[in-house]
Amino acid sequence: MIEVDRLSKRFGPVTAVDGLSFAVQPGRVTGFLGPNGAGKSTTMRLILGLDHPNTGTATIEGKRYRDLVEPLRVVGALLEAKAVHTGRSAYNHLLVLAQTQGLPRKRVDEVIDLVGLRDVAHKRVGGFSLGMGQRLGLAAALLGDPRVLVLDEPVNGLDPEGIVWVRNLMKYLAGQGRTVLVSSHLMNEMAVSAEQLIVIGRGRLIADCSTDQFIARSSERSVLVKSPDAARLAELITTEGGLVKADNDQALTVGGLPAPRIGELAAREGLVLHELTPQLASLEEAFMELTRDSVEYDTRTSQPAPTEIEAPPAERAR
Amino acid sequence: MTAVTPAPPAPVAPASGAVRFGRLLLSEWTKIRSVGSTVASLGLLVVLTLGFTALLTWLTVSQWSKAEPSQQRQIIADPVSTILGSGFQLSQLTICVLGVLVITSEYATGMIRASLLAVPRRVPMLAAKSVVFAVLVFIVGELVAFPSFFVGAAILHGKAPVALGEAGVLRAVIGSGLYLAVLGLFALAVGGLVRHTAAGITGVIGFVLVLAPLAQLLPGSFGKHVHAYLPSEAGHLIGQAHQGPTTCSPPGRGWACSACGPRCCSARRPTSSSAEMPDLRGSRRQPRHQGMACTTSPRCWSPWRQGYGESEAKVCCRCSSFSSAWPASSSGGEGSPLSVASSLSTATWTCSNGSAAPTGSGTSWSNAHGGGSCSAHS
Repeated sequence: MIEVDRLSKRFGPVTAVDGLSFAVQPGRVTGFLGPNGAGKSTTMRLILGLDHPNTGTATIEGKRYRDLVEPLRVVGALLEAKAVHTGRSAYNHLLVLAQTQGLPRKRVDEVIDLVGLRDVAHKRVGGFSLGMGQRLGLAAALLGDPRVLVLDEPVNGLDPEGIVWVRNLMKYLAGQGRTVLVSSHLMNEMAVSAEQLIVIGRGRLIADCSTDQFIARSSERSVLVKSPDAARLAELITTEGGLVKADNDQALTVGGLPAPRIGELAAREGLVLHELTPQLASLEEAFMELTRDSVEYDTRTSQPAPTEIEAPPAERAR
Repeated sequence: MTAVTPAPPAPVAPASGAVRFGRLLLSEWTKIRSVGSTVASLGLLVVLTLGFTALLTWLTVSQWSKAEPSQQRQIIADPVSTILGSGFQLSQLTICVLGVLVITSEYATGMIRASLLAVPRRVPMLAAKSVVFAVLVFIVGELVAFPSFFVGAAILHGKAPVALGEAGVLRAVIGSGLYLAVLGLFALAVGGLVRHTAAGITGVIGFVLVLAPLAQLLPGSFGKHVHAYLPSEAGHLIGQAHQGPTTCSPPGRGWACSACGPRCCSARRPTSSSAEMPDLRGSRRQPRHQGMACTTSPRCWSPWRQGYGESEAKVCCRCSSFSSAWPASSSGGEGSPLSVASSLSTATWTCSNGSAAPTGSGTSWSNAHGGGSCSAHS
């Protein structure tokens, strides 16, 4: 259980986190979303005691991080930035951390096997790829078998196999009753791995709800219709009160009418339908819709953001 | 591939403070032994010290006939100073570099974040790091100091014989290793303050090598005062068999202490801006020294020092203590600024004539000294 209460952090004139309050419950994966510069990493650093808040508190299992006696046994953290001495081997890096908590060497071997770094355990970390570095970070997070996991962009740099592995691992750990807070800017990744979402923008809370609710709340439902008689069908739908946008001479995007009703209309008039697909907004679209007003680095001032581009506007600003 | 084996359960009662500090020491030891820079620096220390001790003492012997008679007398009076002064002056730089690297490499690589996640309270971590590093450097320093002495003594034997059993020699050899440990702590403290490898190394080496000659250029007695406080002076003095009472407590320790203090303060704040940094100059303010004087013959005055404040004070070339005219205004009337560091420590040192000097016992020590070491080279 992670509790954040009226947390604020200023860096000079910039308010990175602004009166943020939320709670992360055990037993499920909680996604932590926000455009770049929204304050995700700062919030995580505040939770982990790496920064001091100006006001408010962040507690883990009721305690501030710096008051935890053996913190790695309570909280496992993966930070976005690398936190490894490049001249040290993976094994020694984990051993250094294990020794501070009184964990045996056997545990180091276990987590190395768990993340699949056995072959390179005694090689310098400096030569690791991004994905190997992420695996090492996950190994460090899991070292103390913690009840709480705080993971900042854990799938960054992982190959598809690694992404699936991390996704399953997070679900498995949450299923054991652990608290899992995972930040990401990959919305689709969150859609499949997180049950609960905390969305922030410009340091403020935008949404704290389940993933399904989040999508439902902010999606504009529409139906994609394909028909050789698109023009005739468009007229019918308009007279029934639907909104029609012609994508081309055979495809329509219909709003305001549910798919079954459109099907019934076409059947009544004997029109051929090639496709009738209800369109659900993806998490990505829902996210962009919700955070539109709170994007820190906005690209739309210079050029209109084409909605079909996969990445959120902030991604392209990098 | 999703199975997670649980870690061994944490002990029911949390580990005591001592046990936890022991774990920190073990962890810091793993840190320091598992990076290449430690092995490289300490290896270089061994090679440079032994190599330059052998080279420079050999040069001294081979150029013996060309040396000034006064120079020859100096070497004969205190051969251990010649032996230990040669190699260590150069090889101490490796300790400066390593001391800075031990802490700044954590900041440079981001390892500090992992360290702080494991140990959220910084002062115990810095303390463990300092202890492990100082002990390591002390041990390696001793392992270098003794062979250096034996090598140098063997080469110098024909001209200026010296044995480990002679008065002050063993202390000087052990002191050389101790000086390296204290210098390393100083470097570590500076590294912890600036948190930047290049800046830290430049700063420490500049302090040790550049500031000493520069201080001598300062006009009047000012340069003399400054010079006497420099850490390199402590290393120079502790490597001598015969020295003044004031050097029994090397000022280098004062430097390490004064630098460690603000480092710990600044460590409490993870994002310390310059405004939050404690005033280093304030903490370097030295307490008043205890008055002590050296009874020496005029022959003993260091030539370069005579240019500065000759009229008011003279400095003994061996022990760096000052003649009777040294600041009359201070308590006790006479003495050297070198003695001030003694008030920072409660350690007891054995001086060259074998008597122990508890810090602060200015007068009696001065008397003992007067009849002991300094008169030996007058």
